[in-house]
Amino acid sequence: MRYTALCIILLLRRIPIASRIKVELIDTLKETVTKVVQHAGSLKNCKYADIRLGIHETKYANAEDGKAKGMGEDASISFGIRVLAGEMSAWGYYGQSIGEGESNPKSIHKVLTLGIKKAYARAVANANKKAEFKSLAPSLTAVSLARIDICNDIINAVYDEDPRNVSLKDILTICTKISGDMRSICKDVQYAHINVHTGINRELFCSTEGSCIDQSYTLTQGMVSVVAQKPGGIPEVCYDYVGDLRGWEVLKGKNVYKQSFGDFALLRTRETLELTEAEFLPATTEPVVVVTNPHFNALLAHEIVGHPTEADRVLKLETAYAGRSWLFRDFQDNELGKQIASPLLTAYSDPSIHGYGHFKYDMEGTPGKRVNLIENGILRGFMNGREYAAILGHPPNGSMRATKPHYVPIVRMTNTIFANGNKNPEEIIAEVKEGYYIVNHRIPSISESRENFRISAQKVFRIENGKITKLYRQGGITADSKDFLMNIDAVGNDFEVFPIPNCGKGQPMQVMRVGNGGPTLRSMARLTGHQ
Amino acid sequence: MIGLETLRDCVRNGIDFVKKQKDVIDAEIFASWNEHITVRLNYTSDIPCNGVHEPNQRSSAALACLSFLRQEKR
Repeated sequence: MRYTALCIILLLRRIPIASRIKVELIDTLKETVTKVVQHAGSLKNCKYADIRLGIHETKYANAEDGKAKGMGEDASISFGIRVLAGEMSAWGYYGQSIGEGESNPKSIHKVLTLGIKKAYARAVANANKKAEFKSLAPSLTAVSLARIDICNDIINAVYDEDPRNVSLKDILTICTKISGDMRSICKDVQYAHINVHTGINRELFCSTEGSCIDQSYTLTQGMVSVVAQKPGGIPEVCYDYVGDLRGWEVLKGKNVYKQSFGDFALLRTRETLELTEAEFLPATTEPVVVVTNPHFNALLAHEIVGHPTEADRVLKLETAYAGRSWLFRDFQDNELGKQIASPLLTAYSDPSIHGYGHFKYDMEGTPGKRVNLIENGILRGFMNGREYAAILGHPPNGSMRATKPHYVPIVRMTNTIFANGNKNPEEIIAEVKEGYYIVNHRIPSISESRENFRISAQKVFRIENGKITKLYRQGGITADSKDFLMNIDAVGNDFEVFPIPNCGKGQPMQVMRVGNGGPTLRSMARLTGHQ
Repeated sequence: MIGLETLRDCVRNGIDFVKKQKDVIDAEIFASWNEHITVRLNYTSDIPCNGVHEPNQRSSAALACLSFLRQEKR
């Protein structure tokens, strides 16, 4: 007897879901979405409404140690509605996935109208309650939105090899071959896992203000996970990603690593094997000179620059769940315009450059643009959405995104990075008499307001008299965020943006793709590792 | 909202369909409908706020099949 684990099949017809729900369906639904959103604008005291309707087509496979574990193709359609209504304006939301049977203009009109009704009712109820408590709670305020340009635009997906034309067999074959090759390198490779997915997303945004934006993008990603262990030794684990907002060509070498996914996976496997023979990094009680490479700095930028410069954290909306930001205590007491980093350091968030955080418009229809977060060490701004921009009195910069249309957009990093410098990375290392070279990020542990951090590295090398010498395993660095940023005394010219596919935030949790990176940096931090 | 009777009909029709398929030994059909509102209370005395903050309201329906198939003889 053969057991098929949770084999989800279509019960009524033997046609794969992905062959029926296609991104082209949006073309037939545009008029309906526009009509429904216009109707929302006519409701009493409705100040604003928007609808996002999206279709996602994807194919995926995974394998362990050369053996197939699973594969599939899927397509989904969902929508999200936001309504701002009531005397003392408040938000109401509604989101839903739609079945294939409902994905025609007539049924879509019906479910969207019902959704508007629900979101409007929630908004009015929230506004009424807010007004009722206003005398007891003076900070309660009507929501207002910062003004944006009204846009009508179509953004097409970019790819050389269309994900929809890649066969499931090819996707599975790459997984089985690469994981088998990884396992075959050496008997000390105990586990090799490969996961690949490729697909296309298309999302329509229409608002009562008249915006109508139709954006598509492709995404192809490969994940490698490897465990290596010498007999009687302690296991070494590595996982990493190759990915980009492009088609199947990403896995053939069109990616930040400029190598095929197979070569990348074998490189990570060999590095993990090398680490099984390395000594454990001894922790230090005092800061030492550290040179951090671009891959490590991707997670550093994410955790100590990206998250604390999200306006919803800044305004304490995320206090109970994700935490606050040490950069903003209140309107009188904050770090805006103050020196929080070395004058050598600039950091920004830019959706217009290539990377996982790329888009033209955010999910409020605001054109995405570069936000200078830190300019020559001075804190200049935050990533925001229209509501938070209005509260802060800043221009809206288009940083609101949702994982899927039926989730509410929240402030997310785009491509959030340390700016390039002008120093050769070899020179940065050569100038160090005694120090450590911190290579490739692993796991972060960050304080509630991001005022200090601990991030582990894949590899740590000792630097002696300007030369890289001994390799250590299972180490990392810890520092006060401001001290680390202020102590930066060299910025490399080897800037890269890496794909970070799994930034978690929000309730319910939304896992978002973002781009993070920067060049090589040199600063001071304590080493973490074995005592 | 999808009512209980509709969900019952759905799983009954589903199991009838699966039973007719070749090589199926055993199967389970599952159907559900959910509505979900997340609400957070968020009051900041020094920053304008909404008090009741609803990060999301969602409805979802799902249909799944777990099947046991006969092994092919080789």
